[in-house]
Amino acid sequence: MTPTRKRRVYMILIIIMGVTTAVSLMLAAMNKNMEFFYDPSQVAAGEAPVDQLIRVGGMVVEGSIVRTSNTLLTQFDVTDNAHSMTVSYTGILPDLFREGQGIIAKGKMNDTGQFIAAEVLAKHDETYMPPEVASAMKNKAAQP
Amino acid sequence: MNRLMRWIHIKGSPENYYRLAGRLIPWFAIPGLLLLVTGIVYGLVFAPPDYQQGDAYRIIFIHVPSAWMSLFIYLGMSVAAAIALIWRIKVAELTAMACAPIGAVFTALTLLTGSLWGKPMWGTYWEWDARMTSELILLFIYLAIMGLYQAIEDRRKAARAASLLVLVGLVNIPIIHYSVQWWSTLHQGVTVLDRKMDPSMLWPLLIVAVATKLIFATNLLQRTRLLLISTESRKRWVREMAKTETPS
Amino acid sequence: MSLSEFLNMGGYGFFVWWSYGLFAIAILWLLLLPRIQKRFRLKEVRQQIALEQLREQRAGKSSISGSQSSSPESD
Repeated sequence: MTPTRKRRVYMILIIIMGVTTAVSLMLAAMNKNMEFFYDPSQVAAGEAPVDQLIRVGGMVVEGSIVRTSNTLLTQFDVTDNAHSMTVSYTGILPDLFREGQGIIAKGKMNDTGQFIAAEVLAKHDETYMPPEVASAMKNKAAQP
Repeated sequence: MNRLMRWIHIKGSPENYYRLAGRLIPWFAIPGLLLLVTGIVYGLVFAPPDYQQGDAYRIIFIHVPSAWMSLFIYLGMSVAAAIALIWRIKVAELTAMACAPIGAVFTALTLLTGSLWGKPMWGTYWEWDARMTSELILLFIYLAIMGLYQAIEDRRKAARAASLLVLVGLVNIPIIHYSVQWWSTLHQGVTVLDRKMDPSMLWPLLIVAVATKLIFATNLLQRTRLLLISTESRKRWVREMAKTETPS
Repeated sequence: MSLSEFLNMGGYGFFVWWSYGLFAIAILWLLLLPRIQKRFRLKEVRQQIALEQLREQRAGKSSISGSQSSSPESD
């Protein structure tokens, strides 16, 4: 490469490095912002602030879902396998919301230690399979 | 190196490239469209529903290939941009510039189909989390590249300035890819490389993924040819072609 | 499987068909637009040639009018 071309390559490299630094700084700041997420253990330890918009997440505990008959109010427990906490939510739940499913709830803790969700989002995993395969796998797992 | 560069300059002359690209287009276009139809019919009709998501998961057959294309096209555009900046080859400049609108379309499709999938499954059309935000930034980068190319009068200076922006925007690509590992996000992690998908569902996905690559190749050649006509409109070869090529 | 069942997509028809519809429109738009634009560009080039020839004829009626003596590369 000729000297001018070499200089051009260095120039480009310097610009890319500059932007990389800027972006990584921005991302570090973004990471700090993600800290208003709490898991049930942190909530049990009393780390979650009261009456502030936070997010909690975990698995929906089997058999914990309580639906009211004439309103859209639903109560359920979420767990991180160490601690669990109760979430109340009024509204339509996503289709993937079910027992054992990972969810994220956005809302506020009230002063009695209950979490009032304004929004419930369901996470899904990376596994895709036909229903027959899923039930066959379940059967196999059930057999000793 | 010098002999190679001379060869590239001759073979890569605008006129030669135009003719070569024209001959190559049907070889990409026809298999591309056939595979696309095959993959979509397979995915919509013959693939089984998912055990958790039912039929809603069928959006994956266009969402994931579009997302792969949004990144793949950016990488291709970066290679062309680097060649354009270092060796100032005109065809490389135009190739990089022709990539941008195609990449923008696939990025927009990724965001739209993802949003239409997220609403019934997650419960929201949009969430400002790392994966979705970084993909939206990718769309803005594509649009900025197209905008910068249009904003500068001198076509060659415009292409070089936009190529520089292409390389700068490259930092966003690893961020998109690793966002599901670096941050807790609503978006799922890696499926295909971890073999977490049943073969009856994986095949249509892979077929559409190959089809979109071929369609990209077709479109890239089409768009590069178009840019060649525009930027070389005063050259003799374009004028001769305009006279002989009657509109069909 | 009936057609209405297929179109219903297990209740997710709205989301599935909008996704595939947008995808189809985008792919067609990508592939067809350059063909149309190419026709326009070549037409523009032809108009430009005609204009230049007209100018040439007006400038020097006595000289070699209409010929291709002026190289397009020169400008």
